[in-house]
Amino acid sequence: MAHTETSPEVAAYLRELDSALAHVAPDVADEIRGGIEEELLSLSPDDARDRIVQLGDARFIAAQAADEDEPVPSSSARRRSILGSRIYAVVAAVVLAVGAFLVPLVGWAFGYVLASVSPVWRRWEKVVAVAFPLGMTVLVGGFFAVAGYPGAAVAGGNPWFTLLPIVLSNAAIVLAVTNAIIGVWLLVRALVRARLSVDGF
Amino acid sequence: MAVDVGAQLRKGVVEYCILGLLERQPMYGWQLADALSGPGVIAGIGTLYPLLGRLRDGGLIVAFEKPSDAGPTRKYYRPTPAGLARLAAFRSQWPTFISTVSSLIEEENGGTH
Repeated sequence: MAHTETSPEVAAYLRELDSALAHVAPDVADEIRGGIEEELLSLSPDDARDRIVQLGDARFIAAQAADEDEPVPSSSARRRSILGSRIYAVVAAVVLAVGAFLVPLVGWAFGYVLASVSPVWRRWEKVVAVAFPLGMTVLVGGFFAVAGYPGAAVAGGNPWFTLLPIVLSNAAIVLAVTNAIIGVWLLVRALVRARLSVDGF
Repeated sequence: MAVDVGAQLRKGVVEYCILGLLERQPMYGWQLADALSGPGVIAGIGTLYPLLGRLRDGGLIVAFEKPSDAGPTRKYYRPTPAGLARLAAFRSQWPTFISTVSSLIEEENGGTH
């Protein structure tokens, strides 16, 4: 029987875990969070409560991970180190924030690719970084399309010829502004994480 | 400063213990944590994932997702051919290593020094 409902205890424990893992390397933190979440969600609420007791203090789990996550001199670790550096995070966040103003759409896509390959940010942060601007853009574009359609239809001709420039220009503005917000948000999260981490990230 | 001999020994072999378990069957995170923390090879689940990350970075294991009967999709791990080759190399050296170390640290007859 599936137990995919999140009980309040499980949700509270996962929140504690997220908070405790803030200073752990994001890719390791994602793995730990994902592993514990899948285990807790596979159990009945009573069994999940017992498992939480067995798992123990989330801060202890995070401390174990931080102790074990030593740098290794492999090529993939070096690549991870460059993509996880503070300067890379700042550049990726700034490109994401202002890219759409410089080169519409392409600038945003480039900024998002830069951010998505960096281990500085957690998976959910990357999902928010792409879902929030796109969601807002679709909402605002849809609003202008729906709100403007009756007036454009009355004016005669194909209403989409009138509407399309209005919808696209408003959608582009929203995409640029929400990306700026997301870029600043990612930058703040990266810098806070760097301050909490012993080695910069 | 006190030296934790057990921790030093575990550090040297834990990755091979993971490869050994995964050679028998693919396992997910909790299964591995349970199997390794029971005998004290790892301290807990927090220790496991950085190890899995290193094994994966080194191309010795891969992760794959598998639907579960109870709950969400699980992430399983299995060894790669390179991981199995590394395990085989470790296995071939391990008995000789134990025997060598045992003979080196063996107390003299009668316990005199």
